[in-house]
Amino acid sequence: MLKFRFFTLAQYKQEEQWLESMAKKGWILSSSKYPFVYLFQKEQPKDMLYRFDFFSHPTNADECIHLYEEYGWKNIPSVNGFLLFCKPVSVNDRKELEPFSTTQSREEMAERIVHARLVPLTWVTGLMFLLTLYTAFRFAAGAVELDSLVISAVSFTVVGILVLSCWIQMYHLQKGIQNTES
Amino acid sequence: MTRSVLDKYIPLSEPAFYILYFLQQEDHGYSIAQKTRDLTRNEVLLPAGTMYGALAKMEKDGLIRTTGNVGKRKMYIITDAGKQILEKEKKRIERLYKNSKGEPVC
Repeated sequence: MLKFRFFTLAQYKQEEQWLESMAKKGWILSSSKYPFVYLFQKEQPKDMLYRFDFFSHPTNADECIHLYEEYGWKNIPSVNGFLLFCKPVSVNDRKELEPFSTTQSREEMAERIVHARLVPLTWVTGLMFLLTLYTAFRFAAGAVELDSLVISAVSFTVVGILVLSCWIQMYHLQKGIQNTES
Repeated sequence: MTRSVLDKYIPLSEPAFYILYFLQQEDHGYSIAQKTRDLTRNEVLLPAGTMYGALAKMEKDGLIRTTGNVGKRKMYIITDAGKQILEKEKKRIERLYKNSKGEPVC
């Protein structure tokens, strides 16, 4: 079954929970090779643990996957530098299985997402703003049609709102990590 | 070694301490985790995410280096900078331990 679902960069915890609730209903994720697209297979309902890690560099990603596999995790093809792992679990050993044992390592994972994705996206948003400004001047000078200005302004606004909400979610995520006992 | 690297690592986190300690001999991530679990009698767990994050970061900062691959496993060993940090930290922990019992530092 193919399913579409939108999660931002800072919603990987929600995404893990959603995948776990799908597995409970017998929908086991086989891949998520494209953003927001999830391919499920129908099996017996299972208690699965899904966990993300993040490394933007392919060498790091490969090494990281090998190490997780040694710990008994299965890698599921995923996108955007996010590495997705799963493991069938029984309820009582859930905590023992967590791939991050310290607050510091959980924070560092979130930091990697901020540096490799959120910061560059913010620069892109800044450029879109400048482009909109430039188009506005050109429109005022009568050099471009209103259409160009509208397209530019609307895309800046949409991307801007998305990036801003990502930052807010990331802030809450990091606060949450700090307040969780390791 | 730069001041900032020292500041970043001292005091050492538990994962970093055990990784540096066991990498005085060439080893790989999963084996370090098992040795740490045994030595601390299950007190300190170094699961996959924590382990790889720490290895990658310490390699980047020059505290450990890779010595090649055995199969798919990546092997690591401590560097001189790493040894320096480990020694510094061992002295600090020894001082804390003595002082905690009311003994002065000798």
